[in-house]
Amino acid sequence: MSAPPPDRRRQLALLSALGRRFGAFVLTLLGAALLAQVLLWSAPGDAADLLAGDPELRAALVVEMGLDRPPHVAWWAFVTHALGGDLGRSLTYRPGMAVLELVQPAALRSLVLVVGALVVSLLVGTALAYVTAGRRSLGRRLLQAVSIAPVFLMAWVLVVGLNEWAFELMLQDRIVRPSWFALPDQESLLKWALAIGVLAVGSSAVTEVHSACEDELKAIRRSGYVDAARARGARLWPHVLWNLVPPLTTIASSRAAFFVGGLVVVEKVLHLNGVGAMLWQACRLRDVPLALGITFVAAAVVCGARLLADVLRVTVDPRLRTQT
Amino acid sequence: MRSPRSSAARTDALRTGGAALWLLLGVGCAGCNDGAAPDPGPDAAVLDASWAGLLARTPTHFTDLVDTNRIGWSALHANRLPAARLAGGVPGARAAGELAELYGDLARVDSLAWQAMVETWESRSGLPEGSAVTWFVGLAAMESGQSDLAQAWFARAKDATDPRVAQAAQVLAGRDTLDEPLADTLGNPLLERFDAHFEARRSVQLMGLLEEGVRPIFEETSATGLQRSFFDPQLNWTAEAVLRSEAAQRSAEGLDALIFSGCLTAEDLTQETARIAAGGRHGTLCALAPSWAQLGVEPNLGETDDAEQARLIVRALDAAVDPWRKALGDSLTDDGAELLDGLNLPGVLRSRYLLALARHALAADHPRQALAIVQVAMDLEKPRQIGPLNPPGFYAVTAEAQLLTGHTREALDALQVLADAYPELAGVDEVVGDLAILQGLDRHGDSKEN
Amino acid sequence: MSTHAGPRLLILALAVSFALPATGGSLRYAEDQAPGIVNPVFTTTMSEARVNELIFDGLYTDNQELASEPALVSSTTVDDDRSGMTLNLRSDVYWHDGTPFTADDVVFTVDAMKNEESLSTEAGRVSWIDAAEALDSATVRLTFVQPELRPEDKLYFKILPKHKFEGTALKRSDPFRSRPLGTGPYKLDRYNDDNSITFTAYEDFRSSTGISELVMREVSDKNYQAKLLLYESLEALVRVLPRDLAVLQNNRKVELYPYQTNSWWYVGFNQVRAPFDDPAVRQAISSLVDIDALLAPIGTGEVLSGPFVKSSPYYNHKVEPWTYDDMQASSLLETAGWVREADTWTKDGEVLTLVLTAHQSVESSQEVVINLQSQLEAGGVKVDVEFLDEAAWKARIWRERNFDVILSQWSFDRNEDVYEQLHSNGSRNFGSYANESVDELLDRARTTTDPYEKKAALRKVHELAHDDAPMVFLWTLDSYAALSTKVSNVVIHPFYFFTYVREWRMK
Repeated sequence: MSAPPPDRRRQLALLSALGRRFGAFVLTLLGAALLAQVLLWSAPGDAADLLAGDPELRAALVVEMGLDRPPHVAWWAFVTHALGGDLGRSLTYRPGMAVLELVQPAALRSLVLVVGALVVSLLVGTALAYVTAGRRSLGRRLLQAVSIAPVFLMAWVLVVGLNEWAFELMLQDRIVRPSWFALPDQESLLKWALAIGVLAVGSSAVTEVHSACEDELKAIRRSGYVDAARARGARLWPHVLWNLVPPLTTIASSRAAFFVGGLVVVEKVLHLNGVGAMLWQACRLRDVPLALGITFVAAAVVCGARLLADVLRVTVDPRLRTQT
Repeated sequence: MRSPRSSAARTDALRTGGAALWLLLGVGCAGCNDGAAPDPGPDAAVLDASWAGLLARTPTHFTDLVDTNRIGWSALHANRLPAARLAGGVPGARAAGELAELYGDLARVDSLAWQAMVETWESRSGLPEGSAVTWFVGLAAMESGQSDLAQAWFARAKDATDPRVAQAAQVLAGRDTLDEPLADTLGNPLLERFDAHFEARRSVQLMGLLEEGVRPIFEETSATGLQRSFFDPQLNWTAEAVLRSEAAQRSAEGLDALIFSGCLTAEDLTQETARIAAGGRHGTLCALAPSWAQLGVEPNLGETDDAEQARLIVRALDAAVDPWRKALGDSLTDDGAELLDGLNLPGVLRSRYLLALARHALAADHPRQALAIVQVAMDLEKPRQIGPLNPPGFYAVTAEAQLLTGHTREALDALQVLADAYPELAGVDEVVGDLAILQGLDRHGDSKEN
Repeated sequence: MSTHAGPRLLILALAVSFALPATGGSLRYAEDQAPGIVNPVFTTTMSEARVNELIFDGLYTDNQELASEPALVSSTTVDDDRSGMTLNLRSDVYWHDGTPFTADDVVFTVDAMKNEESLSTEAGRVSWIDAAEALDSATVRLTFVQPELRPEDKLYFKILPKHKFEGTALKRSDPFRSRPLGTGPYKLDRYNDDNSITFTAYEDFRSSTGISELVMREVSDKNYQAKLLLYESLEALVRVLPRDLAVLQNNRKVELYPYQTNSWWYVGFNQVRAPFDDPAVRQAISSLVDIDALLAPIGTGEVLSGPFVKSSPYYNHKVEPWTYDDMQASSLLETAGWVREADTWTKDGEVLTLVLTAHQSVESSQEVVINLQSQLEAGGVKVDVEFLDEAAWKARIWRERNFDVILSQWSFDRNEDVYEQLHSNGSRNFGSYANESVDELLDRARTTTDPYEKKAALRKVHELAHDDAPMVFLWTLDSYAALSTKVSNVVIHPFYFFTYVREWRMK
């Protein structure tokens, strides 16, 4: 018997690579849930403490809420249910409500933020790279300096600065109250725009995209097919863009984790009520099922993004199919 | 290859950024108006003619007046009434008058509290057998003019365990007036005290009664060994009567009478004094002054005890005075400005007027309105202190109004401020405290963190 | 790549945001934390208590004079021997879904609260009732465990609808918790996306309600709450931080309403842990604290010398607070066997050190803790600091009593009952203070009806508590609520805030 044909071999290799990725995905989910469970278990105080001062009542509540189980047992129970779609019920945040039901609207809001930040960072980073490619520009240095600042500081400065400035003007009777005033108050485009902007810049996504694109653009511009295209008088940008897709997807998938992490801060400062803010509340209130549920979903999203990026890259770049 | 395209791109970027910036600024300044000088309003003339406006524009009048009795006038301004009274002269007389109002307010509070306290006690668990409390509540009733009630209590006091109480009750039973001296005090300390009060009112001299007021005047020990101490229920009434006569002995005129009062002009003051003399309630001087009405500050409290109505009056006052003060401040000399701001003349005017208005509301049987007025009038930067903007009358009115609306515990907060400054008010504080204790019994005792 | 896309997009964005309508016509108030569960049987936080006030009724309520007034009853008769009472219920009361309110609901509520399986935190409110029975649809008979003098003062608990539950063993997970049904002036209309809750006035309520809509917003940042009020994005603040008082007072669009609070801050010692079991050490530390300096940065208030506020009838004015006295502290420690070495105190090889534990969530705590730390260290006591969040506090302090020294506050209702804090059997006596005389005095104070006796007993407790120094009593802070002047006719209940909300009006 001879070895399987080369195509078949390549397909198998591809499948096994994707299989490994999927395995890593599941392991990451389980690991994230275990980490969250252990952290919450080791934190002083639990949900029963918050609800009851009387020792007898507390003991009864502990049993009812299943807080007397060791962390690995609780974790295993959670995971087996979660993989079946049941994320449990909230203990103290909205007692009794199904976690899935609670998390859905918040997750959608956060998704808007994350996707928005992703799109913005890609567009802005690419555009900036295109404009400033190669040269040591002031704009680029400024951008890098700003990116170093912590996310919460940026968000806070923006919100406070805007509001204080507008409030001063209002007090002096110089302006009438603008409708975007009091950012936590109203759902305005400006609030979302700020959130997306802060998330994009604060998690260094813009600078990363910018430098990656710069490198790529330099390489691309020097490449032969670009000269050839120019010589023919054809449009350049389809070539350039198509070649940017692989590095951009890599960055996008690696930044996804930072976006999700930065959500907590941005949502708290700008009062946006997404999963980040909810997770913070859940931890504060020792609502283990809710915190686990959110961690699980967040890990799934991040890993899912990486998986998707890998698939996309393989699809777009035929060279990768052979490399595996 | 790069330069022309990228430099074009750069200028475009700058243009975009610049346009955005200008747009933001323009939008932000939409509706800008230039900082015009504040309009003083049509009532400026009336306020300019008031004592505050007059003194601010001609500070020499102030120094001339005040130099005659610097200590007295500065104490009167700061509402340190006992100190002002001691300094004598015109400010001394005015301080005596204000103290009379204060003790008058508290005398009513005291008697009210005595009645309520004893009645509540009786309805809860019954009064202890033979306690001297019946004597004291009877005395309090007598002072506040409820002679039938007083007689009923004295009748019960005749059965008191302590023979001195029984004897005193025997003497006062059947007597419905305080205007005659006792034939013989029989060596009875209670009767001796009663006589001392009579003497004080007759001779218009306090004779150390205030100093004695810091301590209880009688103690009884129950069968279980519990000691009960009682304070003097007649103290505030005597103080009011004596100090009122003292104030009347030296009448002030012109600016002397007007400065640091709630009246705007001398005509106001004359009119209001006449109103009070004709039977108006003491302490409401300047509440119905016509000049205020000219400014749109109408003291019409309405038929019902509507607190919002009262707040509207205060807001009208602020709406008239605030712009005037701003405009005036710009036109003064340095001395005048220092006087206006340093002594806060408009603030003093406001607080005295509002005190009179609050007493007017109490007189009209509208305690909630009185409370609302004082709450808005109080200077919250020094919430529990007596000062130029917080006359002691505020706290007295608060105590009375809270008591009348059943908020005994809140009344104690106000009384605490007064008791700190006037130790002889310990008696009022104690009896209102007893009432609060009785009203708080049987409630579910709860506490929480934060 | 158009070069004018930038400004165009910006203009578009701004135009859209300007086009958004401004809100108005409803009263918005802020809470630090949204209510987790809307069911009076499971209430744990003040924000839940305030929401309950809007949605539910009790048999009795407070009138504006803070006396008991019938709410759901029309008349009552108490037995001559005071061992029971008969309640006649109002006939014009309906649940928010239109079902009539009957005696069965009252009986159900009492049974549910008493049922141990409900695991209710409010079971104590009905422990004095032996049994409840519905004689007919509008009459309820209650029998008491012991004769009661004023049972109407204890009938404030909220009534639940029987037809919304399956039995008297209530569960926190019942769907009722987010779709509550009450008989009160407001019904819970909807939960909004931004964690706010809208309440609308119930049309068939038995009397008129002034404001047609209320919105509760969750704003966890207390600093921002005051800003929102100034920005006119809120109409009411339940409690104002001391540092915001000056700004709010000067604003003519906001009105401040004082709260009567019987509440005081304290620094508590764990008296079963060395060296704090030695009164000399406690007294010495008390003498190292400059209370005025601690208070000044956080607000205005009054310094106290005992477990009552200064205006309380139980306050013993003859007792002076501990004052800063370095010499006295030193002499106390030396007499107790401590030796000063450089900048520490040592005894038997142990350095005098403590861990100061405080609430993370109480704003002003942090400033006080830092200043207190420097004061004590100047006196030679080594201080480490830790901040605990709510759950950790409940576990470490309430349950385990595992601490050296804590900084916290207590708020009391009108009863000012400090039994739980100072009695050796007290459930809130975290420091395990035990003094037999104090125990006896507290027992006496709880049972007597003679105001002079109660006064004397508690004033003595004040004196003893001061001398033993189980805690350093600090101060009481001035407290205010703030409302926009658009809201008129405001009367605020000192504890529940919304009891008289029907009278409020909005312009």
